[in-house]
Amino acid sequence: MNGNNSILKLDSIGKYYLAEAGLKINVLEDISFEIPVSNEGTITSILAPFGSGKSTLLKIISGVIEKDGGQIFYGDSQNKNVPLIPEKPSSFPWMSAKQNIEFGLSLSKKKKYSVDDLISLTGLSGYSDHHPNNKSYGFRFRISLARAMALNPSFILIDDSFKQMNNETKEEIHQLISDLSFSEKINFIIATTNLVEAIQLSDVIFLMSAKPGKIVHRIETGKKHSPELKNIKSEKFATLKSKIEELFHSVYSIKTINYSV
Amino acid sequence: MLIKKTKPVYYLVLTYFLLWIIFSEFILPVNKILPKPSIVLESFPALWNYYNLPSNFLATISTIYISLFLSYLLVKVLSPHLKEKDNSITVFINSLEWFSQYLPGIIIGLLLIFWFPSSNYIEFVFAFATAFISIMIKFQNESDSADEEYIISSKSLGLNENEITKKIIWKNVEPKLMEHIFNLHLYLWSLILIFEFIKGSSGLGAIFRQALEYQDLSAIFSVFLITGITVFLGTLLLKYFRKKFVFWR
Repeated sequence: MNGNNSILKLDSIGKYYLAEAGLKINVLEDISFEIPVSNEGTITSILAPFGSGKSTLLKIISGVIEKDGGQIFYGDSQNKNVPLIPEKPSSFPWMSAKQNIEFGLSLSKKKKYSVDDLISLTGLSGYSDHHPNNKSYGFRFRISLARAMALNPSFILIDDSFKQMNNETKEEIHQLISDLSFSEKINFIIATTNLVEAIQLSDVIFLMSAKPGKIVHRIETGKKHSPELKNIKSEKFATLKSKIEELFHSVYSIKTINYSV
Repeated sequence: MLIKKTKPVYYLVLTYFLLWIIFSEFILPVNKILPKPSIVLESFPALWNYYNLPSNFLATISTIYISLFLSYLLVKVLSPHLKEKDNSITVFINSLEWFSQYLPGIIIGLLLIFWFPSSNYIEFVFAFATAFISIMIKFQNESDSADEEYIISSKSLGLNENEITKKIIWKNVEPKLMEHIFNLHLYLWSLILIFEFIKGSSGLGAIFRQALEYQDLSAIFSVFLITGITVFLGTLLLKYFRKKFVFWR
């Protein structure tokens, strides 16, 4: 098995922690999925409730922590470090927006963008000398995103970073991600607890069960051909939402998903 | 127009000075508690000539500020090694720190004075060791609780452990280290003045000792003023550094 036709392929990934008295607790079990190579950028969501191991899975994919079993194929990319934007904004407060991006570029082995390109693409024009401390989550997220893009990776991982933002900022950031995915052909993998967010943003949604975390369903939203999915009042949105809810109820006996916008 | 407010504490300090000048100079008779401001002023030339103020002053401030600066720099350079609590350097230094929890630092100073009574450098070694151990322990403790999101994103960007410690964790804990240095600065002043007082060979502490032996109240008061003003200026300088270089706290 190899990942030649994929930008990312996970094969039976497992992760466990040792609890007291040497008890083995499986956090992730037999996680397998694939994100195929595409001429367009894709947005993939991993949808699951809190504590199901989404963050652990993203950390394994990004190379932050080691897996305990299985294999990961990163397509044709030799770089196994995939930028991960964690839940809390991670732009460095001791650097200006521009310096944060330059820091990312200094680590890049295959530069595609210049600092000015990244500033413009992420909507930071006019703010490049601003420091992220005491600024909004949206501003700090944009810097983290630009710094991640500086590495010109095959895909960028986002770990539930939107839940700290207010609705207006969240909409702006969702739009930014959709635009970047479309115009720059950037692939995103987003971990989220928010069903509405997953439907509005994603081309593909993976439903994940908890304890241990396991991929239980793969849903293609068809977003590229149905832009009305962005409208939560549209019929298509309602149909897809109820379909995913049904799938979720078959996995979880209680309603654990956050449906808020 | 924005008017910068002066803190009330400064007015209070100014009031104390005015009260001292008015009472001691014009109302109270000559006494052994508060000297007349005019006599204190007159004692400055004596401090210069008989107490060798310039070289003693320089000895004290260079010991304190150079040891603070060098310790900070050395902890920064060695941070990747010092972060690991199980290597031989940190185990050794942590064992020294264990003693300092139960023994006041000045007792170590006393022993050093006894072992090296004529050494000119032992005071600096003592100040440097105190500052280095203190900053190192603070760094170790704070680096354990460094913000996880910076470490996660740095690892995902491909930085190795050494680079993460030097470029990310150090910057992340720097504001807390600066706060620590404020306290350490004052502690070091007390410790070094006592050390010099006991050793009696150089420094402002040695002037205090000599003035005490001569029962020279005006000299004691003058050195007290010089010390106070220097510590105040030192604190302002540290605040400037914090504002300039650690603005993200």
